[in-house]
Amino acid sequence: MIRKELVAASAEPLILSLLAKGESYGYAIIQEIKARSKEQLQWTDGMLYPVLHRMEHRGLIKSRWAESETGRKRKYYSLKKDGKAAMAKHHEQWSLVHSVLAGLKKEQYV
Amino acid sequence: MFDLEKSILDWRKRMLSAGIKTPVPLDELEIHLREEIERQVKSGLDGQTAFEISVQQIGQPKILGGEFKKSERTFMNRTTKTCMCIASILLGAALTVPGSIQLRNELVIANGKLGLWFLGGFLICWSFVFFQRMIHPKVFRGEFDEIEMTPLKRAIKTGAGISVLLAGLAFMFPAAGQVWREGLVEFSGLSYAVFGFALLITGALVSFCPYQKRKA
Repeated sequence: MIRKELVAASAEPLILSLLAKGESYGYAIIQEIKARSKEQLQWTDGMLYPVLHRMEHRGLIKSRWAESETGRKRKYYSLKKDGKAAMAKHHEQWSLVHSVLAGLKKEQYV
Repeated sequence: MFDLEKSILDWRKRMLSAGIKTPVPLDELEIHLREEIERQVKSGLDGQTAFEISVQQIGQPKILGGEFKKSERTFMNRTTKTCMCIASILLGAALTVPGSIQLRNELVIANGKLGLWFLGGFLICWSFVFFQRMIHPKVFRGEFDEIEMTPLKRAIKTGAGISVLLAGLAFMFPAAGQVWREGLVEFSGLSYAVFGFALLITGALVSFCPYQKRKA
């Protein structure tokens, strides 16, 4: 299981990257993250929504209410221009951290 | 007999008492809860167990309420700052009106109105800078690297800045003298004073602010 500090730090880049594929709603976002991380990234479901609202207030994402095919009301979130820029920045920073870690690990086994 | 609708209603009440607002975000959370219950039931659990597991997964009302309050505070903070900026632009514009009218009609400006005129201008400039900081906060927070300078270059920079600053003061003197003697300033004197003020600010920035470069 991944530590909660890392889970919290990775929430925004993961949400932005998921929304870059197309609009989505809270429940689907959580399910996709769980599936992609093979249940390793465990969010308390409700905690996703304050994060989404904060990102919306910061102008990274926008939302709209719509009805699903089953008739259930859902709040769909999608990426805004500033969100794309923030996502690019996150990718750059996380890649840097990853490359430093990978380099250090490689040196240990040489 | 387990009643799902009543249990959800009770859960809503607990959320409301923890400070989670309705309709948003409480409705959004309820929709999430219902979707999770539906999934658990489809996987073979009975309604009550599915409800209990889903409620646990969604989180403690108090913790969730605290998190939502934090995001509301961030939003309110931004809204307050925006309102403050708009108010100071309007106030700044209002302060410059008496002086500007006198200047247009008589080509002079009384010293009291001149003070208000400068204060108004300062408020407007401050508001625009504040707005820019709100829109591009990253530009102002750790986005710059300080450039190392040799002692000679630093001395030249400071000296040049102080010269510009003093030139600015010199341009402001005639207007200051006129205000002192006559209690008003003519249009030409005011023009020199504004130009001098701009030089003064530029000189101060060159002299006392570190030389920085935007990070690549």
